[in-house]
Amino acid sequence: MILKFMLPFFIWCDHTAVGEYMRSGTWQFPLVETIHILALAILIGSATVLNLRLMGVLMRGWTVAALMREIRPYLNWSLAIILVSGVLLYLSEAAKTFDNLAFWAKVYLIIGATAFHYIVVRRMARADEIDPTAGRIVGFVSLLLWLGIGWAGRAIAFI
Amino acid sequence: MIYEFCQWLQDTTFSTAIRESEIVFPCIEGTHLLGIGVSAGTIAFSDLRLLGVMMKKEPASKVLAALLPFTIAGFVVVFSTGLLLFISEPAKSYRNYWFWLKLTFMGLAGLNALIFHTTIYRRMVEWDNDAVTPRGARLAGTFSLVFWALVIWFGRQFAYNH
Repeated sequence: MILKFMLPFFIWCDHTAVGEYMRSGTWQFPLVETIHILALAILIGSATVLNLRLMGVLMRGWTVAALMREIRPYLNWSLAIILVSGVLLYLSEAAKTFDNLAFWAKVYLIIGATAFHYIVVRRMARADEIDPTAGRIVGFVSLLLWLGIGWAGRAIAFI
Repeated sequence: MIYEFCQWLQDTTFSTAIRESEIVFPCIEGTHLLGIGVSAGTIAFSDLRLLGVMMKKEPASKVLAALLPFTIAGFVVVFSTGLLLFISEPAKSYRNYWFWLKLTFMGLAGLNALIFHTTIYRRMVEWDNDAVTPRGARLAGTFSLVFWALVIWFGRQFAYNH
């Protein structure tokens, strides 16, 4: 699970100017992390509403496409902010994260959740008709992936 | 007197068990975080509807009604995990000003919701489809967004400033 060959890259990340700046004072990390968590609230909210609609659990009076149109900017922007803030947090302690299994799990889940959302969920949301069973499976898997990132992220501090 | 109670609580087996567990405490905290995502996220969307920014073409009452069950579900998760987290270190929480800031602003958010529900909300049928929502709704939505963002920030500070 840990890609050993990437160690030099992690060490290089640790020594970047951005990483050093993040570590240089006491306010940088808390500020960036708070932004990270606020973006998480919007992202999880967006993913929850969208995927529960796919599963046919909420807002059934609306088409998935209509809901997707409303949610899309919030999901995209919160994802962008959480990724940028996440990279800053990573750069501030890159070397430390290398041995942390929870960190690797989180990265794999981020790739998985994002790919699954943009490739599968988004395509399904644009369709005129959605097969209920397919919607349930896709919505459930997507939600699980997003929530998994949150769990793995918290686990980083405990491993 | 409250502090003595907190100290007593912190010494109980239950409190100690959670605090010193390798798996239970992280699980509770992780669930707390995701509960924040669901509750704060859906509240944010409701507030954005009150501000007339999001889902503008749908009646406000319909949007709020659709999101509310999930906001409540998220809150149940956040409050129960939050309670367990508090029980695991009550005396430490009592001594931490971030904890009190967090409680204060949670109270203010609740007060804001109460005021909204007993006043402008009652007349929602009048402004349900208005392009611009009434000032009371916009104020309630703004305060809600600000208060809950602050609660999240204070919670984060509290977790790091033991």
